[in-house]
Amino acid sequence: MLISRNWLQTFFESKLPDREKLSNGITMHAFEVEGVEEKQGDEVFDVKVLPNRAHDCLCHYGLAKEVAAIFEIPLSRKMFVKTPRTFPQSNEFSVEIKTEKVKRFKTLKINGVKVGESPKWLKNKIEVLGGRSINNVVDITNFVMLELGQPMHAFDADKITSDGGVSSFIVREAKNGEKITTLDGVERFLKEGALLITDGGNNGKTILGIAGIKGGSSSEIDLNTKSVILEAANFDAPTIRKHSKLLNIRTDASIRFENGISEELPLFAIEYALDLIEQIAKGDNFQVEGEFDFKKVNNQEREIGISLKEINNILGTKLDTKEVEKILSRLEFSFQENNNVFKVTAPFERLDLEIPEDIAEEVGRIYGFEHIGSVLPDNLSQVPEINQDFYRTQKIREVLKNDGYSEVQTYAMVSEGVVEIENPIATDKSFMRENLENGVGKSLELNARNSPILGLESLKIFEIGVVFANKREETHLCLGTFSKGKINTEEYSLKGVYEKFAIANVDEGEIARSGVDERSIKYRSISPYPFILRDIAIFVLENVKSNDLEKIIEDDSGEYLVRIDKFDEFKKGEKISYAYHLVFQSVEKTLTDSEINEVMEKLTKILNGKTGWQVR
Amino acid sequence: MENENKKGHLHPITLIVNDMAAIFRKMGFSVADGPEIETEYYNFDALNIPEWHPARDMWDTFWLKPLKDRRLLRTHTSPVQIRYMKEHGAPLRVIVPGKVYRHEATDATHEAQFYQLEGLMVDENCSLAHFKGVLEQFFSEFFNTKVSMRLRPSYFPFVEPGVEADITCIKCDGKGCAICKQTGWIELMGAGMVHPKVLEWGGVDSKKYKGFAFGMGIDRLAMLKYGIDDVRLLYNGDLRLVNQF
Repeated sequence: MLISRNWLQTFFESKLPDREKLSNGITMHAFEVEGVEEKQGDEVFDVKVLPNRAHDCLCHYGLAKEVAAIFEIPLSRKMFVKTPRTFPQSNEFSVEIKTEKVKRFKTLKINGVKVGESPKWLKNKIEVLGGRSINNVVDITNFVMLELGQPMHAFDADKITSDGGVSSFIVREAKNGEKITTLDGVERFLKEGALLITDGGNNGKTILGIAGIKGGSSSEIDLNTKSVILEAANFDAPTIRKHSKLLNIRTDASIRFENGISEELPLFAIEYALDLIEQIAKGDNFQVEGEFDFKKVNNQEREIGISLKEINNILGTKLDTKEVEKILSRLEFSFQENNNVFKVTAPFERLDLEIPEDIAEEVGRIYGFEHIGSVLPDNLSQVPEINQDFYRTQKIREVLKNDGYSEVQTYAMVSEGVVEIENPIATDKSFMRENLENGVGKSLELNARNSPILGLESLKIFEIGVVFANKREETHLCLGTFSKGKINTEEYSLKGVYEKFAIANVDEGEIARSGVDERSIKYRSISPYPFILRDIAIFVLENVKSNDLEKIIEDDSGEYLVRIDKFDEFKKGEKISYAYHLVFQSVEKTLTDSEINEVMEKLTKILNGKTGWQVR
Repeated sequence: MENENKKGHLHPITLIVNDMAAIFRKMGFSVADGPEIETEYYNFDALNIPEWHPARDMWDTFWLKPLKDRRLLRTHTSPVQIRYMKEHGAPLRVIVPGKVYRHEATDATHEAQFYQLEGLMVDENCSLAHFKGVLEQFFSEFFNTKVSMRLRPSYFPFVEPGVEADITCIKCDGKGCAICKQTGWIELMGAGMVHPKVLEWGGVDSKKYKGFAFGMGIDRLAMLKYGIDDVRLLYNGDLRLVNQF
């Protein structure tokens, strides 16, 4: 959610903290701030609102309440305090709800509206958050959503079939294959159960909008619109999510509805939008004709009880009553305290507060999770049970390692198998592997190509991993060797290996000895560029050691020598001959033959320059 | 050839997992595992993530054919929480190292298959402070340097409260460097106090017991500890990587 500092500031009289302090406070006590961008004299914060707070914090007022609690600065503009106005019931418009999936549907018919360009302040608010200004009425509905979190829609009342000056909506579920052209001009085909707002005048045949997801073009507001039906509703969250996914449309509205917002919000949203329309879109004969309001259930106030002791037991803190009271007040929760038990009444818009642990979390985050201390649990020395499969597998790995085998891991998603993936990331990764052999074989091919740089003429590798048969998975061991141009693999079930090699159960002593690995290994990046292999053989005096010779070669072969391996040694008279593979590679570029020729020539010259040495 | 009688090398993931098991064992944690193919129930529903819940977007999922069977490649090791609680009851301390799968595009820091370590402790006396104590101890041993941890708010449907845990940067000791993007902190894992519903689904009396749970990426730890710069190298069977360990 993008949050504008200037917008946020409208909720406070005192000046908000600077960018860093604000970001840090929000991150440590509410949601991670992922970035801040300077834009049109404003600062726009990218706030990663957590899924459990998307229902009340995907809006500026939601964030303002958090900021007020975190920094202990009073809100000067509270949006949900005053009881919203009620309006006379409309004589010109009504709604028939024909589905269980609507929890609230509130409309207000306003006549004598003048549609036009939005004033500068409103345009700016929409645009600074990356939106596009359409006209004053549409911008107002978007503004209200961005301020309060309640999506709204405005219909041109005159574009709906009317019978003697009376029109209506039917809200119903779609039949499979029904279609609508949405506001973006795209024709959309609906799946059964999508919620629709339809024209009651022709018995619901004309679809006016996909409820909670996207409006239709047939009733859109334009510059000639005189009469407006404002709608603020509450739709079943899973239904919105399901159909938004099926249609592959995510909108500001659907994102909010799928998180299940409060059914009380439409009251405040409608009133707020009306006030703004009166201010900036009032035409001749302006008249609030009347409302329609459908509400499925009456909101029950939720009272949650938790004791001071429970709060401290969950958080591992030593807070006292006063501190907890202060935090609950900062959050503007109403509560009673009796004998160190708090009875907290959740604000109507905070649908996430249900169980005692939720209150503990609120206390913890405002107090600051970063202030929680570290305590080691009791009975640290209790001896845990031994997972034999885990430790016997460790043992097999050790045995193989000591026998010269290196462990590889290969990809579990492959091009063929019996267990098929419905939604693979690539066509050659659409099955789960049914063996390890194929992967190990490919690994051997790859490593054989790299054998000079690995300094290995033959290869011994193994993999332990899960393979997938029909409705069954099993851990296998695969051994692979490469020698004299020949690849060989053998695959076993790990259970079979325990038996075949009589791998005994592991006892406490053995585990204790395995201990923690204290080696500090520093990995060196693998160069993506090809290597060049050269051999050099040289006669030296018999008292010259191979190690010393290697050192001289290393020092005089330039920066690209990455490996030197001795492959031959023999004595002839008073001289000894050594032969080495030299591997050259750069981490920055492809080396050319002539570059390495130069290196070799220089090296040969240096070696031949030593008394009694002769490069062969 | 001189390499004929040389020892081989273990994969860095194995080294990390062995280390983890050894350190946690000293604190009373045993090791468990579970299937890589899971049911929708264990992977999501029993972890308080019902169908069509927006939180499901947090886990991009590979589904298996036929779709009507509702089987999937586990997106986290958390299902083992439920399985282990059901089998062992409380109190318990367990870690679960295992392979998980996420439907995402791969690059140097993202893989569609990777390893995760789940941890779970359930006891009569168990708090976020215990979580912090255990994990600070773990990381200090693991990185062989004194590590502090910082908790901040987060959300996972199977915990309440939920936290994100950062550790002081092990490269610069919190001063700010490229590894920690100059913040001094490295974001390492999600965690929290086990949601009472999850305890109940695991057959544990949530009135009597509390628990903490955490999940962290093993690949990421391997990359941090050894300086491996591309996660994909862990799964292509390349000895140029393995033989450095």
